[in-house]
Amino acid sequence: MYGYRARIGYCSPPVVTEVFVYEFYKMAPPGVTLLLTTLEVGLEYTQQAFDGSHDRSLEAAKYMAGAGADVVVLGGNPVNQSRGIENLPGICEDLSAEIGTKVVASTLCQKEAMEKLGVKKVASAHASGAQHNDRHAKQMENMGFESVGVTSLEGHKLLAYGKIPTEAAFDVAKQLKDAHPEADCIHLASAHWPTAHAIDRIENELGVSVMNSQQAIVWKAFRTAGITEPIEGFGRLFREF
Amino acid sequence: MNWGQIHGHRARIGYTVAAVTTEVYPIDWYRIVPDGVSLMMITLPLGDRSEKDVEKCYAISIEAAHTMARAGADLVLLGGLPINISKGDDTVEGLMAKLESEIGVKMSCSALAQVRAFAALGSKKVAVVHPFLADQNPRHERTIADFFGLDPVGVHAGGSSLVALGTLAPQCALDWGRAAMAAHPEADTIYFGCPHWTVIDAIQPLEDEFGVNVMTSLQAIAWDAMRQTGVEDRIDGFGRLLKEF
Repeated sequence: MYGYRARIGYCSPPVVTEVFVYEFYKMAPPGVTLLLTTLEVGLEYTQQAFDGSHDRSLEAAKYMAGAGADVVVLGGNPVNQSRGIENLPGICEDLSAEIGTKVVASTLCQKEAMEKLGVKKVASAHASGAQHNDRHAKQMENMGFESVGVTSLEGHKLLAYGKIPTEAAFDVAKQLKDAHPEADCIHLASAHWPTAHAIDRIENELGVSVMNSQQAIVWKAFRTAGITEPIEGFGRLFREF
Repeated sequence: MNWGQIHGHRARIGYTVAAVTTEVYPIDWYRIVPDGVSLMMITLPLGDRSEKDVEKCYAISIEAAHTMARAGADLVLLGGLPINISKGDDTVEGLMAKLESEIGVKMSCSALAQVRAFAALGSKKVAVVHPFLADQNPRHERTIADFFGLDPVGVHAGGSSLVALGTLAPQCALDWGRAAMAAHPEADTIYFGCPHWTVIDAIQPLEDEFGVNVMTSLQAIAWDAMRQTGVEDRIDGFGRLLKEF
């Protein structure tokens, strides 16, 4: 079968998923596959969408476990954090015990990635509009890291993240680093806009670590599933840890 | 890397996946399509194929077409032939036209993609291979005869289940295709139903070995999606359909 080394289940919050799958297969070695279920986050980030997505994640996780997934990722930092970050380890453990498959959550993947990278001061870029800057800063503080700045690409609704040009990730990272030179990490938030290709370039040219949501999720899922080899081209995280 | 492009710089195809979770489909999609053709997916809660499930998925598919249009798809293709035709064989084209006028984006569906693929290949006598239990055989025979208007010369059931499709090896399609041809040598086309198991590596070997057409759901969907969006590339390795039409 295609997933002869590992089969990764991912509960994908956006109601339409495009970029995540594309970039997953740029990163994954042969024999590692993705099982995907789309959830309910659409044009607005509402508690109702978060609740609905969380509930559907639990159902999807059961299905994925039944299909033979080696690990299931509960996607969506905002969805995860809506349950309370302190509750996430328990949610993962309980679900894992119930379905008989390892379970990780996006928020915890990102937290662990930043811990591995040894970062302290994080500047975040996202694409959900400046009105979400405070939420992103709070989410970073919740994970235990200092948020030194947040900026947003403008003009891109979540459903249209696939229309963000590939140059945007580097450009916005450079703007962030110029504005916040004290940052030791650029966080490209959300796993659903094109970022994977930019990670090495940002690290090399701007002299920072990069933690991108998609990269952190895939990295933690691989490592949890026993895919432990260093992977080149997508930052220190994949290469060194 | 062209830093000014989006991943789907040639075409972005919205596709409703008739499965709770999808694994094989995007892998095979990206093996077939050229660079710049991207796949946008919404998964549907098709569990045990009950009437209730199909009804629910039909309604969600319509809503999904609107969502895909808002997300900027160049074409929306509704997956799941049984869902497409669940309101009657003669309702499919009308639904596509209605949705197209509502959302302002080209529409297609699995059922129509396969109608066009059979027509392009000139198929008449069809041996069906599907991965499920034999209790699905009558449904497949009926669809070939009644919806596609072709002669179903026989059906081979692989004996697997929806939840186990990702565990099937590529060899299964090859073996089952050979078994279908051994049992029904009069077939001019082998048709592999369901796009969620790995079939594409069997297409060319079976066409070469038996001198027949091989048409698969996923191959037909990818072909139709590309041709409807102006991607006219002729693609080698996955059968006559993608190479000649």
